[in-house]
Amino acid sequence: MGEQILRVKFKPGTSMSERFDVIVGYLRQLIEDGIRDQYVRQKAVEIVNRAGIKQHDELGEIRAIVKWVQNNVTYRKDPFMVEYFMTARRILKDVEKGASAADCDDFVIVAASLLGSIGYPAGAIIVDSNADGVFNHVMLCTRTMGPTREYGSKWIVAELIFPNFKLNQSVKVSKVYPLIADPSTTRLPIHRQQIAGGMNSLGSIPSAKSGTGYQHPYSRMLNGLRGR
Amino acid sequence: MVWMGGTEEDDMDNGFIPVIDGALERDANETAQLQLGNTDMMNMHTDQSAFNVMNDRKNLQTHGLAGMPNLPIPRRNLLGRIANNKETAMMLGVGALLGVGIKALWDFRTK
Repeated sequence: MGEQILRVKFKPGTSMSERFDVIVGYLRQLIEDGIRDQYVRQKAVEIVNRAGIKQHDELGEIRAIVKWVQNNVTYRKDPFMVEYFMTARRILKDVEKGASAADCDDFVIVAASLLGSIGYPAGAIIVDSNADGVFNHVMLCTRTMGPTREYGSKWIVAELIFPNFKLNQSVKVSKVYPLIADPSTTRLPIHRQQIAGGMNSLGSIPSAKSGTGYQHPYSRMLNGLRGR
Repeated sequence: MVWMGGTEEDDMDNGFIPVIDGALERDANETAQLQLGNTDMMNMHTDQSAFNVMNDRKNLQTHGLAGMPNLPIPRRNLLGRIANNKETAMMLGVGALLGVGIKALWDFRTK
């Protein structure tokens, strides 16, 4: 279950803002789930240890994780008009099997989960990679806990889908939408939530109205009771 | 499988897109020379705009990131809690101006 792929396909007529809400909700929750996953933490520790990063070298740890993701996860586009979201554990296992195929949001899910699991604030930033104001791409954002000589206390961003990009290097963007994961969340992981046909569990996913249009019977009943 | 309009049976019926020519099965040296895509991204213009926009004060405030409990970590020193070099310079500048101002006022009153 923890190695699930979520397949999100929108009903025709779903507005762009509704689609955006759904995607943003899944992205943030999958990062939070990854941060809480012990398997992910073990992998993060293994990566920084193998890279020979000294303890307390925060920027070194961030660089090691970013480089590992850039070099080991393989970029493949999702099917046409369908959005896949993978759990961090699934992506890591795919890499181990040599069957990695992930797009930009999956890259960010795994990198932010790895960083978050070893104590860094991490999340995604949705950007307009054509600098035209239309959000179409996702990058990683994180920061060190203490100020560093290079970046002070600023947020660090990383383009993960190109192995030769350095920290903070990106194509030209004009707009960003940051989603910082909350590692202290106590909600159920996505793979334990009741999701059928789309985006409707009874719990914490942004809105029962947004999404694919499908409503779980319990949601319908709850909405009916609320309406009375 | 027989393709529409044809009569000959072919063996590419395993449901997957067939690998024609073995283009994807050549050895590593040949594959490196295939140049099937734009993975080198030679012409891609890059900058630090994502970093700059992300750390823009207005953006941080809009998304509630300016008030992260650990952002920034202040250093304790003789002048109090100072977060960075900019604040140090500001404190020294204000201190100098204040000193010169007080001296000027003193001179004006007493001389």
